[in-house]
Amino acid sequence: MTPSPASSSSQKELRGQIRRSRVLTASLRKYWLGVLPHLTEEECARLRELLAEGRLTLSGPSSTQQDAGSTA
Amino acid sequence: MRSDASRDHVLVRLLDLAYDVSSRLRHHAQPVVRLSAALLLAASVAACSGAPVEIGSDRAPVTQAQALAGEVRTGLPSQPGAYQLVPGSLNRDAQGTYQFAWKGPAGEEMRAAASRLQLAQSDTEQLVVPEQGDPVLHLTRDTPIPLVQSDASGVPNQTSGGGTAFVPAFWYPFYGPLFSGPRYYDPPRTVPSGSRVEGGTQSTIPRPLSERTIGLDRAVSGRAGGTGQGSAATLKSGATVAGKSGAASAVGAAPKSGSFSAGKGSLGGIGLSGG
Repeated sequence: MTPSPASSSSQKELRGQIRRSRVLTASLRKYWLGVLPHLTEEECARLRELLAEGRLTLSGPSSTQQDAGSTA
Repeated sequence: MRSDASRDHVLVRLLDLAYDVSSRLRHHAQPVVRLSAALLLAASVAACSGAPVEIGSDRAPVTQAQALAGEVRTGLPSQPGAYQLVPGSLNRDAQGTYQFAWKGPAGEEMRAAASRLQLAQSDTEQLVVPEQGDPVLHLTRDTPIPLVQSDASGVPNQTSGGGTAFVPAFWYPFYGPLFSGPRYYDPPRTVPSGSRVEGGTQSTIPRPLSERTIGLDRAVSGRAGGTGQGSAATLKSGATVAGKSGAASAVGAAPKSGSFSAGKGSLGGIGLSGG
């Protein structure tokens, strides 16, 4: 039984969220984008929620551990 | 530093998700997907290792896995020779049994498990079965060996808790001042969960079964620092990260499969610096 991947619209939105995320390092952005087409709706929802939480967390000045890099 | 602490908390939960995703995708038909999942997990571990969690300082007791009752040797080639190792198929469980897949002459993939196995550093990844003696796994210096929980040996698991335990850790046996030729290698006896572990011990004869087991050093809710009590081990991260909430289990608490597709040797240099 293979779970269905998330819808393309859901993935597109999440793709933007990953790219804009400041909680993710450049590596994490790259690897999350790599597996994104294979995420289920439930996994997408969890990721979306965590990235949103991270956005709220880092609403202030950038964390010192963040990188400014951006990868595809 | 509240912001950093909150970020670390999010990273730990992202690591949880990465682990779930990797667990699901590790058997994906496309190798590139398996590799992507492994890289995601490695990068997630690295991100958390560089960002220790500040919550609490309690530690779950380290429980060593139950030693094997006897040597394990299944699925190995019947003829001496060199056989290609299936990328990403290798792991070593907490009882010291290596599990991997090798390719036969016709390209068929065969799964094997062996507790008496020598390792040797090489430029390629292959299994060499000598005329006499134990097989030798040739691995690159940067080939990570996921340390996983025991389940493929047929030996009952030691379970100290429910839920999904937080694995794996990645072991790099050839890092450090050890001889890189064929030897019996063992990781440190205590391995921080979700860490990168280098070195360990090596010998020309296999160590007793009871000395090949490992235990996971786990924080109950997360802690900073600490290198366990591994011998001759260098832990790059120096940190243990929190696992799934409420899932404080020992190494013996096994997920269904001990296999984890960590990709080829190139993984070692990728994503482990925390980005």
